[in-house]
Amino acid sequence: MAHRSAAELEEERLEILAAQRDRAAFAPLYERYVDQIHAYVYTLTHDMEQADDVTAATFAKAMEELPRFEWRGVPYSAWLYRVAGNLVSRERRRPGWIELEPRMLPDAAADPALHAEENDRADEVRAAVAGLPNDQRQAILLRFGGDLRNREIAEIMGRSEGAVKLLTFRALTSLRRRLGAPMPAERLSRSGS
Amino acid sequence: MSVEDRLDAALTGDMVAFAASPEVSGLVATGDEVGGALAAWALDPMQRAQIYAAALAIADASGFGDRLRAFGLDRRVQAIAGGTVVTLAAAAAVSVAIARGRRHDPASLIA
Repeated sequence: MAHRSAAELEEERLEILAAQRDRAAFAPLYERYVDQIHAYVYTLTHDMEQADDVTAATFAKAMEELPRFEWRGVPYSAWLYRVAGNLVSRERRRPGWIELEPRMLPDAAADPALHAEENDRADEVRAAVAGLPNDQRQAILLRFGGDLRNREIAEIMGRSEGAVKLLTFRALTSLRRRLGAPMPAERLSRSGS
Repeated sequence: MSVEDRLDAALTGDMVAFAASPEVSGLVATGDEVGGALAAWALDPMQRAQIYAAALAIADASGFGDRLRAFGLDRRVQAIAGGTVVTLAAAAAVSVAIARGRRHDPASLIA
């Protein structure tokens, strides 16, 4: 996983400072994180409309809290995930299963058949993540969707780093059992890295 | 070292831990696939704009004055309001001048 470098964190700190001076400067932060937060909320709720609403409320809260936000050297997304998670918890109604409807941007250059196959697989993977127990699902979403470190995830979830490692292990074991081996491209990318 | 510690090390790029057991390398590959599937989630520009507009509307819905002050926008609003007053005053002056001009315009008297 590619965690944020010190230079990238510094850049983000400056962006937040700029947004604190002028809310129009908040837009780059929104653009960077809206997909992550939306995917996170959708995977927690299985409800597209709720994902839209909670994502909007999360960024509204972010804008409201900007003047009081204090940089602590962790990605801004850690704060956004915590807010989004709290909002979901507050409004949580045990949802029934509904069909995942991912809204993907088409890649014009891609082979349509391959693209469809990749989309189907991505749907399958997200559905498997959605089916995990809540704690495991959250740990996986924060680690692999948010690229956050264990200590950041632990803080968001109110758990120890050791507990986060264990949740990640259990979740990946369960996903591996359900999904089997990744598509060949995934295996190739790992062996090439 | 427990298996979850080895997995964690492998996930953070420790190739020794990655290669140490097929179980760990398999779980890392699954983690990579999950990361790819989540990263592929992308709202289209219209949806992004709608959610942003909704966020702005929520943020502006309550405590508007406090928010204006917090962002230093109150000064801008005052400046805009001041500018509006000046503009309105200028428009009124022009209207009066035109009306007077019409009053003294012979053509208007004839009409």
